[in-house]
Amino acid sequence: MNCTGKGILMQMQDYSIHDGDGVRTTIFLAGCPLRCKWCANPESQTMTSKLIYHQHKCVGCGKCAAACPKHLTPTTMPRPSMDCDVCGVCTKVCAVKALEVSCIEYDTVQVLTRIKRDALFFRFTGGGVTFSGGEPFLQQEFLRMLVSNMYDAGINMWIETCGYFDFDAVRDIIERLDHVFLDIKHMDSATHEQYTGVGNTCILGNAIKIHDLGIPVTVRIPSIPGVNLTGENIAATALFMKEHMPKADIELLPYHELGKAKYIALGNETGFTSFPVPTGDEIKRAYAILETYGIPITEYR
Amino acid sequence: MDNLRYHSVVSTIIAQKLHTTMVPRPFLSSCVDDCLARGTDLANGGAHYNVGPVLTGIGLAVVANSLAVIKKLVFEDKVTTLAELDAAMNADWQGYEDLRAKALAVPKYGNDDDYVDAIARDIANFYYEKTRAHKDIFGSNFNSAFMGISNYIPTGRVVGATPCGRNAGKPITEGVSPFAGSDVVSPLAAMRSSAKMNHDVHTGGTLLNLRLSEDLVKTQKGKRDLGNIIRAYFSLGAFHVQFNTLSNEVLRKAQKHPEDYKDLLVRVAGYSTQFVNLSPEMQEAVIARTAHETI
Repeated sequence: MNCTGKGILMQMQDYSIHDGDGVRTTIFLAGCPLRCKWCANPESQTMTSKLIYHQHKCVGCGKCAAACPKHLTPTTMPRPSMDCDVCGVCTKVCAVKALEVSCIEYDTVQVLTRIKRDALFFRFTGGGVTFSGGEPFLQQEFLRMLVSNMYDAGINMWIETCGYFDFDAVRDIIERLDHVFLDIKHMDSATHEQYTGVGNTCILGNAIKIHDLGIPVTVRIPSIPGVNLTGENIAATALFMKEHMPKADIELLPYHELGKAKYIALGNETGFTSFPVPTGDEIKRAYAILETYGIPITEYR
Repeated sequence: MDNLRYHSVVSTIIAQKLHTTMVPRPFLSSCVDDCLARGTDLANGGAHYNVGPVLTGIGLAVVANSLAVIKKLVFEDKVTTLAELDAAMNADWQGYEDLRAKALAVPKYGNDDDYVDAIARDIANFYYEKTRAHKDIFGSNFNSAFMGISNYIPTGRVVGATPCGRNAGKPITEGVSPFAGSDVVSPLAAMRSSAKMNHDVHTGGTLLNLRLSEDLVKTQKGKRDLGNIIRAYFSLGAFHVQFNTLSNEVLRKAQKHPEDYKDLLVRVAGYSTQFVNLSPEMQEAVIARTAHETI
């Protein structure tokens, strides 16, 4: 097997209770081929290490600047900075944790050791691991190595994917998974491209192929009023699922603005685009439409 | 610690002796096997089983965290000395902010880190061995426990600053719980830390208090998960765990408008009470226990 054995993660989060059955440990793999305008996790878009600065925690002690081997001032310099190597020295001297590095290299053993530790709670709660991102299929070799090891260890594995990948290249990985969450962000390819940077042809094709492998699929829509939380788009999604993915269920994820703080912490406030947040009624209405098409609704809450 | 334990044993035995002549418990004795038949009060050892007194340890996590700081900063990294730490304690960290930051960065009990959890385990074992070695006036062994109920708050008021980074007068820790706000990984990590100790030997009980975000138990799935998490914790040999599942937002509202929140029950430590009946200090202590938010 041609495996690097190393990958870039944002983090590993145990005690995740909204990412599938039971109590799960979510592994966030860095890098994404999409650029959704509503992205709530901008640090996950690329695999490069990033310096994150939480201004509200900063006490202005100046230790970060004093410690910087390149004599930069991490709190005021533009980020990303051409001069900053993201060596992380400043994050270590910061007593109030106002600075941190996102996207760190892990090796397979580190990840598997953590998972082994959490396995007891998986066993009792019917939980397991959920691969998330970014787009977890992007770091294909690393994911393959993790999945094959966890498969041998009997760990239940779910994945959250945007669906944009070469199916044949990762088919062996998918076959070992227990459940796939797949985003269908918009049924109209042009609109999909306008908001995410890519069309939906590949994504819809993969949705069908995964479904046809017999792997349980939950379709997810990051639901935004006026963008994809429209009667027309919800009905089109329902029709597509009814025709091509009769065994799949659906979960609507209401858009939220919690991502804004992340853009600010990354030094990229202007990168944040504000969208309307759906009301409970708008979500209910969309579920009602889905019900009329007989699409099973699931909420992992 | 051994000295404190010795004095606790002596005072407990004196109290027992006083009870034999001054504190009879006739009603309670009538409910316990053999007291009536023997015509002997509980306080005089009339029961069929005379269980020995319980000495409960308070501040386990503070002591483990503090010893970890001394081990790391004084002996391993050599970035400070015992004399400087002593001076910092006496100054309640005033003027020693850098040293305090270093102390706070040393691993803390409750995050599944063996560096400090092993110290907590050693202290717990030592405490058990020393306590269990004593017998009371009826010949029953003393029992060890870590279940200080709410004593950790008044006790903290008379304890000066501690090397773990805690300020003078602040609450110490109760039971086998982490120091409030220092169990930052997850409740599962806190449980694993606690489960490294041998709970079976502490026959007086080992209490773990955790606070969870309210949305953990809002749904059927959340309730099921919580039940299964408890089963997993007990499978590790643990004895007890209890939860507060309230959002800080709700508790802050209750502080502002106590009249609207008279029904709001919180589990304090071994008991539940109305939040609004707690002292402002106790309310802050409940709020300060880490609210484990889910992401």
